[in-house]
Amino acid sequence: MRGVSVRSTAEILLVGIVLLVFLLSGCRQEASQDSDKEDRSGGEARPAFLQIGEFAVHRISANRTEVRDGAGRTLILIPRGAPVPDDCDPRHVVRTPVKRVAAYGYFDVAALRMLGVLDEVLVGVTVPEKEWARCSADVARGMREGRTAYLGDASSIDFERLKQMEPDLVLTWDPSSLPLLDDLHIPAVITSTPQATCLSARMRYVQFLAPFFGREKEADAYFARIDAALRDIRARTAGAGEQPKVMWGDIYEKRVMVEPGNAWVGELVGLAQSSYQFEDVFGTSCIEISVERFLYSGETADIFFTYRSRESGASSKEAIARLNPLIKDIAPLRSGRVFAPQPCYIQSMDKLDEILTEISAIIHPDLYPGYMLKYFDELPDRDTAHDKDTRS
Amino acid sequence: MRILARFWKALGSMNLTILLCLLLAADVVWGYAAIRWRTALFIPLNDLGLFAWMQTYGRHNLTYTGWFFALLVLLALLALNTASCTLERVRHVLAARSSLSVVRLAVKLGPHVMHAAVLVILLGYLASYLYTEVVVGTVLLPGRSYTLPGDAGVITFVEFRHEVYQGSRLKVFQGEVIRPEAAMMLSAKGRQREAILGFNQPVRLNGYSIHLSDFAPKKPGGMRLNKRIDLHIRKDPGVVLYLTGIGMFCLGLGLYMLDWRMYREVRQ
Amino acid sequence: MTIAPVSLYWALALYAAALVVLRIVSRRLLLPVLGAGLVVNCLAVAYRYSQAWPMLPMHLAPVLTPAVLACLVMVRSSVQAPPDTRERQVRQLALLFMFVCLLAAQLFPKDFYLSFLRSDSIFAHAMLFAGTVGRACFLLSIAWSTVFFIRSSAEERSVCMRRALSWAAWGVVFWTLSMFSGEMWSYLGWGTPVVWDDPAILLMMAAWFLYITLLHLHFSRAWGLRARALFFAMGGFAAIVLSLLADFGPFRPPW
Repeated sequence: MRGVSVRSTAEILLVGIVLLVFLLSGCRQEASQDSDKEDRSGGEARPAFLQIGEFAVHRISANRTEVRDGAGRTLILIPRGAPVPDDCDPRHVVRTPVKRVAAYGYFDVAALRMLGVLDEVLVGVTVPEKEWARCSADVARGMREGRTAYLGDASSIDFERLKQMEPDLVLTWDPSSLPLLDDLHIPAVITSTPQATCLSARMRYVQFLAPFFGREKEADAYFARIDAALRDIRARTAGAGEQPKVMWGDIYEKRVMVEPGNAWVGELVGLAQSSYQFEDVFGTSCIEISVERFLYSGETADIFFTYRSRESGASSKEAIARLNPLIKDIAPLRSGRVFAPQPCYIQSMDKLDEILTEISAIIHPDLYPGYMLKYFDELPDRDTAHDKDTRS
Repeated sequence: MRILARFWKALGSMNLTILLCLLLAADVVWGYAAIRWRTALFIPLNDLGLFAWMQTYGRHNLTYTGWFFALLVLLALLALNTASCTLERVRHVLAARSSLSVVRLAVKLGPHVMHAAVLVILLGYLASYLYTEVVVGTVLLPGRSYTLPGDAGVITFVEFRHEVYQGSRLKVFQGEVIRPEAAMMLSAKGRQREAILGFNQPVRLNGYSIHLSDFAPKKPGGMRLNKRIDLHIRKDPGVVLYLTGIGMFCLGLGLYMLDWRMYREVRQ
Repeated sequence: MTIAPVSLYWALALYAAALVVLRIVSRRLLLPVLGAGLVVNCLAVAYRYSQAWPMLPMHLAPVLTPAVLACLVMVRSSVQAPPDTRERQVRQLALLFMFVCLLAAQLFPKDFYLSFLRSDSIFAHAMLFAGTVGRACFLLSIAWSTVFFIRSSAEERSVCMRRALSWAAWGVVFWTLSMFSGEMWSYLGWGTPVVWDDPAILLMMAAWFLYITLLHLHFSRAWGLRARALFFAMGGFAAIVLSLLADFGPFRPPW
């Protein structure tokens, strides 16, 4: 049978296009209607659905918000006093506002600080007091005053102690704690994701946590602050003549790990008018790549950010070359600049705007005259006498 | 009815097939770019239902997800086109079957078996995305059990039985797990059996398929992570359909190749 | 220096030499020179496999495709009677495709990802090999449809289109088998036949739809022979580029 006439074909196509237009216009109409849904706090209009990287917040009604965590699990946020719908698994119901939180990671503790609830809600951490004392006085104070307990190392949590602290919620990156938390009827949020967090998701993570505490305004204010910092970075670096080449990663024994191009650091480097050497690499944070690729990228790099801190051996370029003889000839170690994170870097993600600005200042020092580093150390060529004493 | 019959016949136009395939090619290229830019929007498609995804991620990010809606429409049109064309042509072939041998009839139906297989595969995907029951984020520690929804059964993680790489060829994997395997005990209706769960080796229990999503630690005895397995559990009614469709397509392909080889000279 | 980088440059040189041999020197030398290039190319593939086995080497298609294409050309050359002008032109184009593909693989490598554990599956390897054979068939189809425009007589053009169609059909067979293998691997490994984390599957689908279009164009005779040949050449080229897009990385000069 030969094909039917072109006119008939056009008719069919027209039907299909009309169907598509109806479908899309229906979607747009509903989307615009949903965007007018009221928020619980203050009656302001909030988007019905917010996607933040691999996290998501879906406001279904005033008494029900569903969130998706980093592992793809759905938790249902129900205000205190409101009835729990029949279709909800009680293990995944979180009563809001959350009043007691145990947090595994530095970033989650910083997020609580960003929302202004840290002193009120933090009841458990997995890092001892002395680690907090230098950079997070508020957490250390809470531990001294008995409000916040040390629950043990993340790989060996004291669940009895955790149970005594009676958290409403646990923020954890470790999925192995889920079965035990289920036994204790404590809901948990997995805060790590399979893919690296992009810049937008990094900025907006507080907007994911905000519904748990009813702190959407604080989250928006934080986001606005970071956004302003980014706009300042864009404006300052717009006219930058040079585009330094930046790499971020390290080698551990035979494993090479880098930050991929889809990670927030990769995106920031690009935004700051510079070239990220692993821009084409896609995947999880600390993704493993071949040694050859790391060395190839290192041949032309100007700046190298290492994962290691001074405490873990990155005291100088010479020390890094000694730890990793494979990379001793990369350009930043020979004639460029190398930066290691300071101890407070990992605990200061609530000051993301300052960190982003500092990274930009490192890449373009001429555009930030007189800038003093707070979160990174520029490594000297050789160890100082103090470093040598510390090592011995 | 005449209009409907005319419409149905027009739907079977090969010109329409050509146009739809071109549009589909263009659409999936758009989709490739969209997923590369915003992967996180599409990851939930793996476990949310189609409607749930469309109502959330889909409609609130149309710039990046519009191609997927277009894909659904185009695939629907392609399915109708294929159904109309195939039915019409099979009708013709069967009408002439008295003049054909059984073998000749079978090979003549080859292309139509392939087209029918495409419909079965598309139907399988639709059933899968509409009706699959998915359980995400299930984590088991050694000795721990999980009860499947509806008390369909109980799965227990007994222990790891990994294959650890001891050679020197793959330097990165030296001393690390190269083939993760978890011994599982599956219990249902009073019966128990052991099964081995691996990365490409799911286990099945009462219609549920249990897949190994992740495990820890990657290096036995060396890391600070607790032993665990992460599971992805699904009850997917579409599996049978798209596996059947794959089989049908291969059968139709075989018949068509037979037709090509046996009767090529006659046709040419 | 490792064997792989050296062998790929040698393979490039030998494929270029085979092209020169076929065009200028002596057709009798084609098989030995091409065979040498194939051996070296296969060494490079073997090296990549040795670094990954039992897992799948990542993004190997641009290196494997020239080897498979060389195999097909050699098999055709060895079983066929002395080739006519058409066949020689097709072989020249095939050699050109081998050279360009391998050159692109060298200049735009994506060989830095480590293999992942879940790729230890017979279906993953089947997906790679079936897809590569399909791609090689598509390249021969493009070659025949290009020769269509070089030949002047209607009979010769008809032969060219028949050959182009034949290779395209075989390409679709293997491409479809590759997609089915990928779906089986995906179902066993991830629980669903399509995993939306990796968009490369969409490029496979795009190439498949393009070639289905080509086949239906032929069956419908809606377009004339010339238009169909043009579509075979251009559409096929687009399909090849799409199918390899995900396997190329950024430009890395060899100096």
